[in-house]
Amino acid sequence: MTLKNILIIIRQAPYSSLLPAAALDVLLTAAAFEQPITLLFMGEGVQHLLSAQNSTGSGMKNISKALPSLELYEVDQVFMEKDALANRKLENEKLVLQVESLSLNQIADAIEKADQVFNF
Amino acid sequence: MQSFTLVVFGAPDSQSSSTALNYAKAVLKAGHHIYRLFFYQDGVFNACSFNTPSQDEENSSVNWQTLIQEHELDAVVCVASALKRGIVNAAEAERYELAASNLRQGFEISGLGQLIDGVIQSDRVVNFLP
Amino acid sequence: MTLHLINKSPAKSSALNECLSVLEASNNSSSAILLIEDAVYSALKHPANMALHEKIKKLASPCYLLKEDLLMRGLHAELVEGFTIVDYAGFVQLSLDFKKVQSWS
Repeated sequence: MTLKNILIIIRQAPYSSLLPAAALDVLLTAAAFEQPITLLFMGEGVQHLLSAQNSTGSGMKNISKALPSLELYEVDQVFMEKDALANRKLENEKLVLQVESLSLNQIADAIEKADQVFNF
Repeated sequence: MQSFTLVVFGAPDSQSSSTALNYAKAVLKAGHHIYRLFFYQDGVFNACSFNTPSQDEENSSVNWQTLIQEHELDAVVCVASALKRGIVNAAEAERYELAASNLRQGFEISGLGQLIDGVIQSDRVVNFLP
Repeated sequence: MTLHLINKSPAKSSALNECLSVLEASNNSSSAILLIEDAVYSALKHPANMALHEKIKKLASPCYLLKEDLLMRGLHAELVEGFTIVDYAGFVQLSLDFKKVQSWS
């Protein structure tokens, strides 16, 4: 089977848009097809990583709960934009999983290396 | 000739849906191949056969259907997005004991795997985001 | 070798700004930006757009505008320089000139 390097970028804040949930669904499906996947949280998207989120009673899906189990799907390339937490004064917050940071230059490289980017 | 998969996120009355439709027409006009149209999230409303906009408005669903049928395009509606929004074919209507089915002719309901298949099989995948 | 497709007005979305930040930081200049739908408002001579225009001017990557979306909005006359206008046929051709299309919303 042809393998395509798929980069999924989550850039929208939680609960404001349907796109982050769609990004996760695309990611899990691509993983089922055994495609090489990279997940990147960028800009407002880094807020998905905050573990203090509690959407109970809101009727909204908290997708951060699914993030720690990504490894089970062999998705281990998970990154966030460097400084995105610090720029929001969130650098000391507890996160749902530890992820490596990428500089904008490294993000540009990741985009160039990918065969397909889903920037949600 | 190059092959394209288009991902339509926009509801029938959004510009995003109309951009995707114009783009699809331009792809075909340039002699290229559309491997698949994938209707995702609110884009699935384009596949509803109950859409009846007022007379002075375009019916985007009919415009998509015309293009799909004229060019025999593969038009897939994401099943999870569709069920959530009440777009069902006869089989789903029966399974969930719904009053009616409303999937427009020319569209078929399938899974997100069809999008990933589009990524694997086509030369270009273009997302028309909401 | 990426065509960055942006469809939101800069007043509503940080998409163009974030895309420009990535392109500025990139070692390679063989990408391009195409502004469609409300993103064509980014080309207006508006004080709020000046910082964006400065970034675009410094960038080696070309920046395109979709003609049909400009005409629909009646914007033809008041644009800053430095953008190239393409129609839908040009949009399709640009999609093929680059290795992939990445949409930002």
